[in-house]
Amino acid sequence: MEIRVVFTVLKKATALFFLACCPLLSAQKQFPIGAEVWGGYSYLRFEASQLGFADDLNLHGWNGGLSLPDLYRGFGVAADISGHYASEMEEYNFLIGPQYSFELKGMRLYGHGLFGKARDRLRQPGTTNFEPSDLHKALAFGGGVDIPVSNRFSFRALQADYLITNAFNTTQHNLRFSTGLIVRFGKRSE
Amino acid sequence: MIATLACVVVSALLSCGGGNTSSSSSSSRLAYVVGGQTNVVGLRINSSGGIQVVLGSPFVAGNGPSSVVVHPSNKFLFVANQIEHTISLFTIDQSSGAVTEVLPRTPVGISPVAMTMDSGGKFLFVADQGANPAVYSFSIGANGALTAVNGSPALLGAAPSGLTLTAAANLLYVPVPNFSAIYAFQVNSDGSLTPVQGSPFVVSDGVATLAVDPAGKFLFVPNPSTGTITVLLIQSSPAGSLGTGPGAFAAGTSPVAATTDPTGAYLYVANFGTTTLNQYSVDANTGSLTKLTAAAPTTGTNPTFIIPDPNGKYVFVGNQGSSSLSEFIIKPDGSLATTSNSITIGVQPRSLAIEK
Repeated sequence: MEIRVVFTVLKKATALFFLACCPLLSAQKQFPIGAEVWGGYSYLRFEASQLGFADDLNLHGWNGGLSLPDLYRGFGVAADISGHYASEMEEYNFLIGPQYSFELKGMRLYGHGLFGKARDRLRQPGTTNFEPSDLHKALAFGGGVDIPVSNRFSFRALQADYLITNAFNTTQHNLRFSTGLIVRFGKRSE
Repeated sequence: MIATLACVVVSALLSCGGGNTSSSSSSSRLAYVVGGQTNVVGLRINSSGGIQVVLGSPFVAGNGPSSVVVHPSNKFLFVANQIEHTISLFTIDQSSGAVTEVLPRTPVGISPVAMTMDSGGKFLFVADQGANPAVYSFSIGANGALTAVNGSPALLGAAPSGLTLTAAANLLYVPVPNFSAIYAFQVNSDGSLTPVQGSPFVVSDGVATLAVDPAGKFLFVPNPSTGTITVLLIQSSPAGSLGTGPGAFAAGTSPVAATTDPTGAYLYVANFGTTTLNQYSVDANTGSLTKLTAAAPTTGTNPTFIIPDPNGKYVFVGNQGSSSLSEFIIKPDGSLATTSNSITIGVQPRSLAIEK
């Protein structure tokens, strides 16, 4: 029960974070450095067989984040959150880490290494003795392709991540693919 | 261009996975172990014998789970709760292996200790050790619900320690250690039980959990008192009666459980007093046992039950003393070899059931 409460608080805190940030960002005419907020659809192939499932699971959900993509010569920092759902379970990732990006033929390519926490929760726990929810370390290595649409908006054509999680003391090697819309605030990168 | 490529990749991923649902792998089997205060431990056994504890385990049954049976449909799990004298019905989630109890529990006897089910999943038989020891018969509904069969229970003279049903599900044998005897019943088409003429059959030197060969010709009786295995003949006249077989064969200290491989060519015996199994070849004509020359495989401490994998690849032994489950692979010559997949259960295991 306690874990569920913490989990609910965490979800609410995340929502509040977004509610607080969006007006702040939109109120700014010009950031001293460029910032990006993005969000969209995400797919996760989760290695659930490590948890006693018959097979790996396909989870669908959302992915988004905030990044300062060009702090120094293409190097920046990215914060990434995602939530994925299947009928059997759900997973949330809270990650942050360095990112490198560069432009190529009018598109922007980037790579990142992210670390943080992930929470997995079983949605069909059966009649069990313990709360089937676990907060644990997570790592993601990946990158993607952004296509500018206008000065303010870009389309994140694909972000692909190799996501390593440690749910319930077992290690899962997962793949995450995301796509979505990027909104840029502040000055553009050179 | 890249956007198109991304859409293709994402679309392919979506279509390959079947949306939000997962596909069940036919290469793995679920198994459930009961023991401890209320524990039902789910296990996923993959094709190479690897054992993974199902997330959410242990699941909660009633007080004192003593026996577990998986319905042949693999949809339902039944657990006998000895202290609470009830039977729990669970539904099985094939994807995750999680089990969810369907309440209320079904009352049965005073102290249910063992269960067995016919291969068609029509009837559940429950051995009860109460003041009036008996075998209860239940018919199983499409939703797993249990209904007492007319004429149930069939009374016994003393407390039973197990139930062994022939593959044809027409004969039920019940060991009664206090009498050193075996009660034999014919299973009628409605699930009721009729005592076999001459039952109970007295066996020298004690009785424990019985094994019957798949052809229904031989009954293998562990004799804990003398460390032997007695082979009895299942006779056709009177149907199901037990006749003298090739005799008793040396086993280990306090043999408590026996099983054949799915072909009936080999017999394996767990000895409560040692940490080694006995393994024999079975003469298909006489039932005579010949010890295999291969080294005896090692179990955990105080093995109490021995169960073959339905596909005939593995044998599992529950170890009460070490609260563990030992896994053995059946080699082509019928001998058993220890695998590296044995696991600790965390509670003293009392019974194991593997899905079909």
